[in-house]
Amino acid sequence: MHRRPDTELIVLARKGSEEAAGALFDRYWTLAWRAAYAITADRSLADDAAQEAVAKAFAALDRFDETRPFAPWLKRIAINRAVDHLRRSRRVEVLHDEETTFHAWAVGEFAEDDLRQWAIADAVAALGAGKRVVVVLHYWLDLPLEEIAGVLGLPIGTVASRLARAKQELREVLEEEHVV
Amino acid sequence: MSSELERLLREARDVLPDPDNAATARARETALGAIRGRRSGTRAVALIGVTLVVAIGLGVGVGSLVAPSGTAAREPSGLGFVPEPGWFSLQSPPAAVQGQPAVAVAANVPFARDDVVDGLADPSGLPYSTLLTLPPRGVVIVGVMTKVIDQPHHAGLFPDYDEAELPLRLSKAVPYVQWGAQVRPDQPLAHYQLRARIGDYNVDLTFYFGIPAPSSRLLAEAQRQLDSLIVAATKPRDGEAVPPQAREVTASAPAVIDRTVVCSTTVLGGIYGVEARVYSGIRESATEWRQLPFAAVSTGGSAGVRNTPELLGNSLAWITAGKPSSSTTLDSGWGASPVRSSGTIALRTTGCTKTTARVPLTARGLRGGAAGPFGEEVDCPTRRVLVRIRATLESSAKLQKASGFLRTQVAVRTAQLAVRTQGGRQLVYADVAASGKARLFTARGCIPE
Repeated sequence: MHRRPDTELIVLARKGSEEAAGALFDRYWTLAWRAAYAITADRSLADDAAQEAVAKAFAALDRFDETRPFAPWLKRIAINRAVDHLRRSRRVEVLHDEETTFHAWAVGEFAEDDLRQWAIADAVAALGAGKRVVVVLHYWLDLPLEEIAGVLGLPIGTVASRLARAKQELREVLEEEHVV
Repeated sequence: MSSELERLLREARDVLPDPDNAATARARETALGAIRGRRSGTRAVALIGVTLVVAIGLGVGVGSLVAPSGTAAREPSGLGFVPEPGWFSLQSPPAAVQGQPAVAVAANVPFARDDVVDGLADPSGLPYSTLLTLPPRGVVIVGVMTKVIDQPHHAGLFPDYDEAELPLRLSKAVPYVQWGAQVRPDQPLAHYQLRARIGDYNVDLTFYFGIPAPSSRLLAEAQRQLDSLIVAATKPRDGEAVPPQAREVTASAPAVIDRTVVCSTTVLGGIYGVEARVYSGIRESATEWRQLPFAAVSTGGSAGVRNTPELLGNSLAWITAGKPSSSTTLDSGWGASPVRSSGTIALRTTGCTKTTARVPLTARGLRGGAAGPFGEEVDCPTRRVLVRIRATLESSAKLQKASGFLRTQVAVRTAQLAVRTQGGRQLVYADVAASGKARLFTARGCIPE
């Protein structure tokens, strides 16, 4: 089946086509939600952050430059919303689970790889929010350090040192568990 | 080394889970709503309209409906839905103002975050955000209970509703789109109203369906939840006589225990995990059970275990339903354990801690069905789990600490058990009923024994 390009869907959605908007949503919702979940590590917060992100993006379609790719733009909005939600939730000390974990366990075809990824995800989750968010933004959401500094409102040197410390911690934990 | 670690770190993003269907449906509606344009004006008018309809119909002012709630409940607030499998329910906080109606809400979709205030229903009684994003298969029931006002000056002003008995019938409801108060004008909801007097209380129920013409299946689903409506008076105020009918309802009113714990799992065969076991009941005679319907989740497995009491020691939680006799056991095999000593429901305290995290009591997205008398058993690999039990008991009871468990011996009408990972993935849902039936549903990654 012909896959309509994003540009076409955006133009139609701007004109009020719910079908086009729905197709755009279906194409990128999971991306936005996973970005939000990677940062918050909490389904409820991710639901809210991602929902706000898509609503904001769709409401602002008129201002979007359709010559640029849609996915990074939406992902960036989702990241910003997720960071906001995470800050707010920590400020009021809402802790949804005693510990943070990322994995959705399933015995897959490559169980050994699954186990290794699971162990790595657990180690990332155990880093603590400050370092965890930097690792997730850099390695899972592919943001360069400059952008991470912008998102978190931190000097780039602070981001770089947090990332270095996080990697050192991860290396020690994963070597101890014979994962790397 | 560093580049190897970085490669592994990047690959680990694959473990991120997907959003669930309810969140996706809500977000989709919100996103499409943004395309349709802002409807805030229409929404505000609709909200005020619906609130006025409810308020005027109940004989109370808008002020008392939206008044902030306090902690000193002076009026009975015994209105609630015992959620059916796949349903969610909320109750209003204790009334701050004498005469303020009690509100209970049930939905077959998770409630929107805005509609839940500290785990309770929004005092306005209108789950507005949930209704705005209600999917086509969605149903929301809003119940409002007001004490009948006896004063002469009220006579004729707010007529009492026709007397009825529980369970109420949805077929008696009437279409209810008036005052131009459609909550979602651009995607209309079917909207029905059912009014009845139960004891000394006027009960006003409003049904919302996600489509304008609900199917018979959807109506049946709503009726199923309506069957679990409870209207019961709580303690009377000093010197206040309990009306006969209200007392009768109270006597048969069940108590609900709802607890969630987070537990570590232990290794079995080199893999951390939990085992779920579910059996239907076996009758001894027309009035007695040999084995109650039973569902348990344990960790550490049953290898080398000699009898049921030992096996129960590995359990994180178990539930039963039905009235046990002195010889009724949890399990007809091994050295079966009498229910009266083991407890009808139990939660492990050793190695588990109480949590407020939400574990949905739903089989949505899981596979399974009815369990037989010889049981269904599955293993689910996971490191730590959240376990929730919810039981509707025959009478009020408190869980007592005994041998590393919180338990009770009080008979259970219906009970549900759900397990999810800390990452939010639902693993197990089981329920048991006093009829002897038991069901088990598990996630795709779980392995039948």
